[in-house]
Amino acid sequence: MTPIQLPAGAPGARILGFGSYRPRTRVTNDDLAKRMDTSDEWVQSRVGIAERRWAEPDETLVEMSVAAGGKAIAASGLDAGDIDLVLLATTSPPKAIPGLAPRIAHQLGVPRPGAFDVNAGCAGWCYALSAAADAIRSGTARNALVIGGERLTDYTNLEDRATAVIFADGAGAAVVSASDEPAIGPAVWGSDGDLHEAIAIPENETGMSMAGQAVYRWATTKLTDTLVEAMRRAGVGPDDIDVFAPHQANLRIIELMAKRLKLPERTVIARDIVRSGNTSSASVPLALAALLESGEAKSGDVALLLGYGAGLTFAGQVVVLP
Amino acid sequence: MTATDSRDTVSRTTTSTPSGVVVPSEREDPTLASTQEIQAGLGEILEEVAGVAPADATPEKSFTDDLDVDSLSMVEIATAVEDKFGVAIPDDQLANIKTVGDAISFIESNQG
Ligand SMILES: CC(C)(COP(=O)(O)OP(=O)(O)OC[C@H]1O[C@@H](n2cnc3c(N)ncnc32)[C@H](O)[C@@H]1OP(=O)(O)O)[C@@H](O)C(=O)NCCC(=O)NCCS
Repeated sequence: MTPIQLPAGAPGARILGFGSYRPRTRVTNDDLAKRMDTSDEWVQSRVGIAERRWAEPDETLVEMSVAAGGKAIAASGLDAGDIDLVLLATTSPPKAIPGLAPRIAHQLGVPRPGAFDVNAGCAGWCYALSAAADAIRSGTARNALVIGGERLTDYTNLEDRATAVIFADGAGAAVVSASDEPAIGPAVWGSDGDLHEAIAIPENETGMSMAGQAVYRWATTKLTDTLVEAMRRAGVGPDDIDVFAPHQANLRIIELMAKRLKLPERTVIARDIVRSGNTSSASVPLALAALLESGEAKSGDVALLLGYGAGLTFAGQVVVLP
Repeated sequence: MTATDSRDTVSRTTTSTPSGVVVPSEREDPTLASTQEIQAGLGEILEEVAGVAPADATPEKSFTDDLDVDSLSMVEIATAVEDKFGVAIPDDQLANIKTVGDAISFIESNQG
């Protein structure tokens, strides 16, 4: 039997640049209070959101993803022609068929890349980042574009105030490339499929519903170990973490995780939820792009990431920021 | 990891009959927390989770109305109770716990 050959691959992978797209329309808690029985006080104290962006009809999942992806390619210093893998993490595609990554790649002028969608709930971008880094290390790809894009408002039931105040729209992206020094640590990922109903679109309904307290309990008890393991496997400890950017689902979960991990005072904690709401798989790249833009995070910073959500799924990893 | 620890605590507070059948231990079992100990332990949890002064955590107090503890802090309290007393409070039961006294009786009747 002829042995199968493998490409040489790369010693490591790194993120070269981020890009993001925030929809034009800002929706404050007071705006929501005019449409449903809620209040700024409730939303701020329970979830930590002050405002979020809702996409208009022309801000489709494809258009937002193309905008974020184009900025990420520009920030990376590469050309669209250099990209050979495009991943779209999304849990809110308008239709099941076709997947959108090929069309997004086409609109960006990326020639015939490997392209597919990843649905791992709000953990999608972290899953896709890991898949891209592994593809680069194994030699299957050289440069990857990893997008997280969501139009969760398409699947939000405005009658369900507990979710309607939380979910929002947007897209964030990063270009990942080969590097001699590993700058994307191994993902510690997994799933708890027994909780598949906790965040789901119920039978015969079009909007999603969430067992908020069950998910809150799961997130605050089960995921600290994931983060600790992600640091351990990357060979770093809490004192090395410059930036903590978990999925932006609830500010109280974010603060509780930071406290349990005993991160040092100087660690910058992503709190993009305050102005962006919960954008599912777009939340981690949106938060990182914002921290780099504002200068709160800098190139070379060590960031601890965590995605978690519908499935239930989770993925933690340590990366070096571009 | 904490789940396993608490399960160990629970199994230590049960007694095996010669036939090997495990029966729940009696309330007088010295390894079980007394009402006073539960109230004190719960007080510590309430202070840690929600900043409630220990002197305020008396049995007649309603978590939401008197102590300003909201539903998400209740989830954190349930987690802390499980770690401290080895007593799991599922979400559906948590909804029925309205006062500090309700929590004390729940822990008391479900430990061991
Ligand atoms: C969603 C979440 C904020 C809801 O908070 P909660 O405290 O569980 O909310 P509940 O549905 O139990 O409601 C608590 C009370 O607030 C009320 N309420 C719910 N939504 C409200 C709103 N938007 N405005 C005002 N009041 C509201 C409820 O009616 C209820 O009132 P009652 O006690 O008088 O009956 C919270 O559970 C959460 O963040 N969970 C984790 C979500 C997560 O991490 N998802 C991950 C991936 S996407």
